[in-house]
Amino acid sequence: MAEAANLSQVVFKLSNRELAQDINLKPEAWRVLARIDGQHSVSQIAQGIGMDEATATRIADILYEAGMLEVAAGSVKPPRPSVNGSFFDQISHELTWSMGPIAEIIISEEIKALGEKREHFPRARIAELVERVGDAIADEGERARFQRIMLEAIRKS
Amino acid sequence: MARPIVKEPSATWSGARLKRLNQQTAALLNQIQAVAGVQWALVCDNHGKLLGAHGSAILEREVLDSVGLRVAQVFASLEARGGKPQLIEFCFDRKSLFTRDLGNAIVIIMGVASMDMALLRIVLNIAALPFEQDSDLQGSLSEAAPSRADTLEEKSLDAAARRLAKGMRSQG
Repeated sequence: MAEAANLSQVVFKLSNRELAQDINLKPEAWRVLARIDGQHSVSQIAQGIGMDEATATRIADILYEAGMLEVAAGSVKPPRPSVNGSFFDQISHELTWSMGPIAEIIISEEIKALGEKREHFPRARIAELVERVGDAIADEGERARFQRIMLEAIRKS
Repeated sequence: MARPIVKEPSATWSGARLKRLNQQTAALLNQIQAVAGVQWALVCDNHGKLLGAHGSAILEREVLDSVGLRVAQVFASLEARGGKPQLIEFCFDRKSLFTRDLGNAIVIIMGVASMDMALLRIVLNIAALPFEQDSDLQGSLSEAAPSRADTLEEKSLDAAARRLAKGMRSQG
């Protein structure tokens, strides 16, 4: 399934999964949510309710990230938010501190093992990457130091 | 958010010892609760007895004690077979149950199936260190509940577990 260039092209349906946390919805979000039917794209919904596309797309993104929406069958996939270069600068720096120049090889190998590319590494998988590269650090104390620093980086990303 | 459950004074846990336990447990549980998708978390001793709990649902102590006992029995069963499990994850349709060894205690976390498990494991690795490395606390825990193997005694098993244990013994 192709990936959409923009979330506005995606057709969503309501999710029946349990939400990870409570969510408060403003009236404009309810207007969008009420039109989610598994058939119309975000762009079409925006047009139908007289809302500008950028606002409707932002709302759909929030609802999707919160787990309230799922991608409908047959729809293009939503673009995945990716991490920026500074995150990889930090993980390289910290892992190199822990285990020397082999760090870059470890990071590249683990990105490949996850089936991803550094340039478009999805934000949703950064904890997975940090865990995997951290496992390469033999010393427990050093591994804990690395994970502590990277946890802060994950929270800020 | 339900009110946190803490260990109450008893013959085994009182004074400075109890205060240390409650402080370390609260610090651990607070960090775990910050992970999106975690619904409740509890710490139990080697016998599955509740030491502290924190979560979004109100759960009775008896229910949490029961959960703690079952999980302690799983750890004990694996250890009886020569294993040394550090963490065990149970995945259900809409929930995940994540459990981790804390030396002489166990932490049990229930959350939604879509929880970021890698993030939870990282948070737990960091949060568990002070609890695990507190030698006084670990000593007190060991004194209060020395061995998980105690949870496999006949009196601790329900009817279904007794039948299962009997069947396994007959197979050798």
